[in-house]
Amino acid sequence: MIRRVWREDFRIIGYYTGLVTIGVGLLMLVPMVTSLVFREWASALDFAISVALTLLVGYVLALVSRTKSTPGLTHAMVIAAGSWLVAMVLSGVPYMLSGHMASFLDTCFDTMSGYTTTGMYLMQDLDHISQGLNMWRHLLTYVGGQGIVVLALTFLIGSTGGAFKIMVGEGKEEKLEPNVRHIAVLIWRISLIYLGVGTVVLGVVAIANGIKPYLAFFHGAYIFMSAWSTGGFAPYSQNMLYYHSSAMEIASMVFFILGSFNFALHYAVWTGNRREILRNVEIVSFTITVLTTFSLVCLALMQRGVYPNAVALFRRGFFQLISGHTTTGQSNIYARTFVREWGPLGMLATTIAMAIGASAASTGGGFKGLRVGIIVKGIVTDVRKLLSPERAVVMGHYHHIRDKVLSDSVVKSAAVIVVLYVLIYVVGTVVGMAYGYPMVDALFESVSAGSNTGLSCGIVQASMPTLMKIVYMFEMWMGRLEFLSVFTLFGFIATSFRSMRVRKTAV
Amino acid sequence: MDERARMKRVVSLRRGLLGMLTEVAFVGSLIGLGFLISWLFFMGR
Repeated sequence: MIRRVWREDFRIIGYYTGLVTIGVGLLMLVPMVTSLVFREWASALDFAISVALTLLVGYVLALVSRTKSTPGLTHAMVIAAGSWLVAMVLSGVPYMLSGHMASFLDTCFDTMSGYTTTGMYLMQDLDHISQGLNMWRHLLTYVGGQGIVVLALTFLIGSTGGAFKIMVGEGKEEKLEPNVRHIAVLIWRISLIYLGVGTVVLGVVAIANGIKPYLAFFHGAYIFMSAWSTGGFAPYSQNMLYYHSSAMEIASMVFFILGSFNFALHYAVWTGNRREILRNVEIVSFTITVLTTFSLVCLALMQRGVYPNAVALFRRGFFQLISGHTTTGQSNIYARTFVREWGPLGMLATTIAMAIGASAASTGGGFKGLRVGIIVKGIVTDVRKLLSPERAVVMGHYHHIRDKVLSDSVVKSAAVIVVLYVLIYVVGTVVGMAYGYPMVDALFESVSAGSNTGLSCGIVQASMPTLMKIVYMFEMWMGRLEFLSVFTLFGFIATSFRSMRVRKTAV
Repeated sequence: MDERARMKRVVSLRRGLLGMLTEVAFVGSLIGLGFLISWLFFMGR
């Protein structure tokens, strides 16, 4: 823990944040090339300006604070949380230059939503943005899903001792390999292989749906990036409804369920441990909660007689529920359909699914299946202890890659994170209610933002109150980074001010 | 690349492919279960 902040602390944080910023600048070359391919000269110029600005900021930051010191845990947490803020601001430059944003706050909302794989947006006239900007939106969410620090680790930062700590700060705490750079490469290898497969599958489905071949593979790539990263963006404002295709919806559903799995699980299954998929506590927890919440959705929709047959019930109900549970946020119904047709029970079941969310160390958000599994196993173990003779030793176990003993500290840390998630969900709900929205709607939207889902019942739009935009942005940021690095950043800022005061008093 | 390295690579590729197919099969089963629940609810209305 840092008790006083020294210049070297700022150097370490500045240097690594600068490297991450350079990574973001280099990433902008992809949409710039896309714009050039589609002959969108104005958009290409927007990206050229943005690339130059971002690289300049990153380079100056890295140069001014160049150091050979290794980041400690506190530095790592501050770098993770701070990099996301810097990336949010600089990634918004092409958004602002495009003229599709009403304000800079709306721009930050959209880029934060993109990086955190939430999928809510305030962009105006989405249906007429350039292909370059569409590529940038989806690339943001794809990179955000793997983690922007993971990206920088792979290409820019060497295998330093502190690198793994920065990844932990970003919510990727599975140590798949001893070398942190190998972990980052592994995460990217899995994602890029699926990117290739997904783009081809979705592209072919898009061609079958009548989209021109050269555009179909762009649509395939966009929808894949949105699905795999559990982001929820789509090239058009009607989201998945635009395609009117059950094949597209099922293909996308397969990829977002796969994207919601823990990278450690992918690694285990891909290296020969295939039975892991049936034994892993997260997958067991995910399957049970999906089937339970979907049964509630079916009950609600059947009571209200919303859909005329089982196929329609499955196509709309299951897609929406699983999109919420994996925290993807792709939608094949209109936002207000939740309020007008699904009703309170359907919305509540979807809200519970969103709150639970996907797997730990995946691209998804929410409490995570691992924590739900651990807490449930903890409760079962406690009940078994109460029912056993006093001298009996009752030990709980859970299976995540290998059998692990369920210690009190594991249950406690899982419970603390769940409580923090509940807290941000409640804060967002209270703010929504203060602005006059009904409780169910406010809860739905707040949980959707905090769990990085992105489903909306119609509250999120450019005209919503400024405070709500800020609260939702905080929810997205905190929910994505799982609190600790954000709290460390706040603590670091407070300590910096205190250190400055102490120095002034000494002078 | 010697024979041993080549075999190692082939085994790794085969494991990766089988792993991917296992994941897709699991996800397919889950989607199938979803359809079964929809159908059961509709039949039992």
